[in-house]
Amino acid sequence: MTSLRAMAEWLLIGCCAASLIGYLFLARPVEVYLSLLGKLMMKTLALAGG
Amino acid sequence: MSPSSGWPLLLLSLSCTLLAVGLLHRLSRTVVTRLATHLPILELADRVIVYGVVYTAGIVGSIHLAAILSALTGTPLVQIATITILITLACLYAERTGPPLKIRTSTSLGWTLLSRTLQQEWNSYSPPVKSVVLIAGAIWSVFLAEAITRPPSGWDAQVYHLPLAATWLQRGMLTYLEESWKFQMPSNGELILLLSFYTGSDRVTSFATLPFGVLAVLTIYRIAFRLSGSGEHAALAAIGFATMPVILYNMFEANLSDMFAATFFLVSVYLLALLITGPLYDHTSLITVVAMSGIAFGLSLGARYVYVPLLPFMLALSVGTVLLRRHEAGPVPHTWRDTLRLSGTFLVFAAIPSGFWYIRNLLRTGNPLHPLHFTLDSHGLHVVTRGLRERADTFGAPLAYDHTCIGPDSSRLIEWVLSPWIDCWYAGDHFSINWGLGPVFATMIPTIALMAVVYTVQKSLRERALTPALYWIMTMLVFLSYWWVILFKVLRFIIPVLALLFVCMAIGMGLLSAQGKRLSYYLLLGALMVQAVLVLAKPLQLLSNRVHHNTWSNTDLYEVPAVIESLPEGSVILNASNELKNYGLFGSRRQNRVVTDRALLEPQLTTSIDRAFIERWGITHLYIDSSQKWSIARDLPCRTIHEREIDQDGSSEVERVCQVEHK
Repeated sequence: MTSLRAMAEWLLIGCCAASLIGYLFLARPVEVYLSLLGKLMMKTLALAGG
Repeated sequence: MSPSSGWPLLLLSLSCTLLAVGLLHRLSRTVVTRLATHLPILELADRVIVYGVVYTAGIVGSIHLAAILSALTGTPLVQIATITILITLACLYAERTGPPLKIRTSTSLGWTLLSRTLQQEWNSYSPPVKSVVLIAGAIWSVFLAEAITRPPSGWDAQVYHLPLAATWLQRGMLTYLEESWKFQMPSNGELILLLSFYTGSDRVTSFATLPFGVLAVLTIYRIAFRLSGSGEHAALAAIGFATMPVILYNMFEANLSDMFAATFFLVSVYLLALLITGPLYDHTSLITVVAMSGIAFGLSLGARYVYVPLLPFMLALSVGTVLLRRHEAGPVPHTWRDTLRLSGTFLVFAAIPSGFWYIRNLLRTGNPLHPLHFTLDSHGLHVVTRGLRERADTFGAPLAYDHTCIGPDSSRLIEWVLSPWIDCWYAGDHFSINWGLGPVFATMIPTIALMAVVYTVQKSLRERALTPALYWIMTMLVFLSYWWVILFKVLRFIIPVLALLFVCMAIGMGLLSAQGKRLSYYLLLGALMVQAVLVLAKPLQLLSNRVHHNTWSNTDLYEVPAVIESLPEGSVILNASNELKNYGLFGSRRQNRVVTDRALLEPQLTTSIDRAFIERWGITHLYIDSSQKWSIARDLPCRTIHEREIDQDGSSEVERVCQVEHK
């Protein structure tokens, strides 16, 4: 019973991890906001470089 | 007295506002201290929640009363001076009817208790939970910094919430505006914007939603704490909710109504939930709890029609929670009479902070729920608004909706099931007041929260007992079903459901072993780090743009011409341009009167603004741009006082301000 519970728990945690990975690959905001952040960093670097 | 009337009056207005706010604090604390003898609110956090209800009801009630006096006497009495006098009278009454309180001692004790409680909480957290708290703090800090450097913003806020409150400020009455049905709905939220206007500072208005967001977070913490028994899980639930992109935008934009209504709905259900497991109380105590819950629900009813269909459910809860106590805490109530008294109490107290709007609409239109109209046919109940003509293509072409992202018309279940992972909204840049679940939601809710729901329902069915956890899950499912079947599918209408899903996550975490808990904390931490990167991109970019272009003024943010700041006193501007500029045209001191773009939708007006229209609305200036279909009639001389090229959605247009020459 205990090992079954432990297995179910591992499965649940695995699903959480898979869900996060799935988000990183599928979610539209990942592309949109990372590109926005990238532009922001480029601008900041350009300003810092004079 | 209006903050636009010069420095001496502005100072007087600010002083009156501070006095009103201070007196209301004193009144609310007095009421809460007295209620504490009846209510099961023994802990500090619960007292703060009830304080929030009493305080907000005080603001709303005093403004409603001033508006009623104003309507009866025909004088503009909705002024900060009247509101302060009414609150002072309430304070004097409260002081006379009970023992005086030693304010200073109690306040300092309250702060000591609060800081000690927070310290103890922090010390009890494990390292990953402490990291989660710190990242959440960083996210909030950036959003705060972005909000403090701009006037109040947000699409809905600029189009109608802020213009409505600004018009009330100018007229000194809660005027019923004919321009659009959007101005005619229950508006308790706009009363908070109105109060913030009396301070004379736009920056205060930018934060008007925040106190209600904080109250919602505290309520979620308390619900999660009571159900999971763990401070760590409760904190994670509260943080998970408070850092969702959609919640952040609802908290830091001036679109106040949804967060306001959702907060008080949660508080109302929470107060009733205290009855299920609390100790034995006498009948007066039960009635007091139900009355407080009624007031909280009334605040929601007075802010959003969305909550009206939930009234029967809330009435059932107000009786049901007391009936449930039979098994544990004693037999109340016995008779139908007792039951009716409980539901009647809830109804009467819910009507106090909301009745004003429903009675006003009944008197004005014959329909208390104006502009909603209900029709029943063989396909079921339909809700329509008379103002639907406002959604015509007058203000730009409709946005393409290709079912790759969620939109308000998405009705396919599969789209919603996948939405946490696709996480995009069909219009705009995905994260806004309408959308944004975020990676924390996608990681924890479809897994741990769902497991908790299944476990709780299964356990309750097996044991044939209605547990507190099931009470909350039932509330969540009722709300979700109602939203799915009837409502316009916008995420901000189900903020309470989003909150309760995070409560379920806390319950689920409590079911895991020590190792499982630790792993889930680290997963949540990882997801929150990703969320921080994504959600901070937009506010950081806005801040960077402001610094780079040195654009801090209202005219910069609202993209309206600077000339509107120097128009003669009493100017009335017609916005015949983008609806988003409705509020900006009022000016930074709200010195101009504005006839919003909605007035142009008069059926008799086609494409030309004519003299009859101008005279009917008393317009002195026109703000018009070449992208709109409106032109000025030939018999209407209008002297141009400003003209420039602007960028409108990627195309170059000419904007113009002209002064109408009256005969």
